[in-house]
Amino acid sequence: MRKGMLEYCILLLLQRKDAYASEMIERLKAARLIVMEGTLYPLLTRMKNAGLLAYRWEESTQGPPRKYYSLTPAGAMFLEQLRESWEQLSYTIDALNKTEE
Amino acid sequence: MKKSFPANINGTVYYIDEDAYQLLDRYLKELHHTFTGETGAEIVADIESRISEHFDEKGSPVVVMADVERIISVIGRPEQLGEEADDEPSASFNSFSEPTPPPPPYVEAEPASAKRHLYRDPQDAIFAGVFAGLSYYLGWNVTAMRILYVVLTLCTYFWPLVCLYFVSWMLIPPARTPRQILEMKGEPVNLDTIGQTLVNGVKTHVTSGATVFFRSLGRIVVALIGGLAAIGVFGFAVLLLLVLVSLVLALCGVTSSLLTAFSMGGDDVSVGGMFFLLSVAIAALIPLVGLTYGGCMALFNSPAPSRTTVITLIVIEVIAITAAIVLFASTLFPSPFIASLVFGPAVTNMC
Repeated sequence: MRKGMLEYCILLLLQRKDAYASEMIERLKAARLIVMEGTLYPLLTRMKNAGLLAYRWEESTQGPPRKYYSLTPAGAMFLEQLRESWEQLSYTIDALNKTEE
Repeated sequence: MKKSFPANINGTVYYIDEDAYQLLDRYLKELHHTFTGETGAEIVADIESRISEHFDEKGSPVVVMADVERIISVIGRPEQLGEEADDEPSASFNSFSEPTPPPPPYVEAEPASAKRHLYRDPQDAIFAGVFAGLSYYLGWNVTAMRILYVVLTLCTYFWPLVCLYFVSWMLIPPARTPRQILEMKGEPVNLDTIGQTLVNGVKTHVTSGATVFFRSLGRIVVALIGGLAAIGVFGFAVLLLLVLVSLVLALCGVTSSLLTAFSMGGDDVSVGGMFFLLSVAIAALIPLVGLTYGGCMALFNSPAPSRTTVITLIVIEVIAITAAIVLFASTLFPSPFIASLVFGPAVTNMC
């Protein structure tokens, strides 16, 4: 569940703009999600192997080249699916919350 | 004052303290252990580049222990990350729309590797550390077990238990890495304990007086056994060689005496006979070399041969003995087929 969340968040992060791993970590931290930085890397590699993400090497002004990740068409489709199920879930929770009050 | 040296991490050079380097090295090795295969290598490379970014953010080119500890706690310990990697990809999230059985009630996970593994302990070893390792595994006192073993060995006419020891030596792997040492002792494997093992293992490993005493005693015993066995095997091999050579010569109808057969070299001895002598020589030589080397190991602390070497030698030994027996048997009971197969046409005519 939590990891599913993290996948959803990564796809959301990448939908507008490509990013490299450290950038994602910072944005996830800013959104108060990530706990352990290392959890991101296995996830990224797995999503890349599943064809949801692609990456390219890009030179940076400082230090070694960076791995920029981007969404593939399959990743974009998967993001839509996730968004639907998330909205459904969120509706359910909201509705239940209201009836409880 | 600490020793520090340059290390290349992801293409950038940092000056890193020795202890910090060791911890980092262990950490990366543990990560490699957790993430295996091509995918794993990629993950570890990514994490390594993240580590170098953390070093860059620090501003100073010198990396100390505290930096490494902080980075490891931020990135996560291998066993924490490993759990993530083991799960099925995105199964959890897809299952929103489909009814799935409820997850099992949450239970406090047991410490990942609190259960003990059987290893040999070379650090506290007398010969190979079989008993030191067993004492961790069973939780018994190692000195008591050793005394019991010596008594039992003497009670059972020596060889059975000695052979048992050698077999255990072959079968039980040694605990060399900190992870293995922790698994041997039944302590949870995480970076804190690994770090401690490193520090303790390198700097403050104390060998108890009893172990030192047994170790010296053990060396003497091994040297004596090795020497005696070497002499015995050598004598036996020479004897065997002489008997068998004369038998082969007699069976092949060579009438000349043993002495002339030796002085005349291989001329009178058939091809099969040569092979036979060769296999006997190999079969006799291997234990001889092995025992001599064992004696040297015990006396002069020579490094132990690798298990691969030992196993290869044993295999060759078995082949040589088998060959010798087959060749000998085919001389004793000459069937035309085997004889022509083994000895060639020349001998078939002679026999």
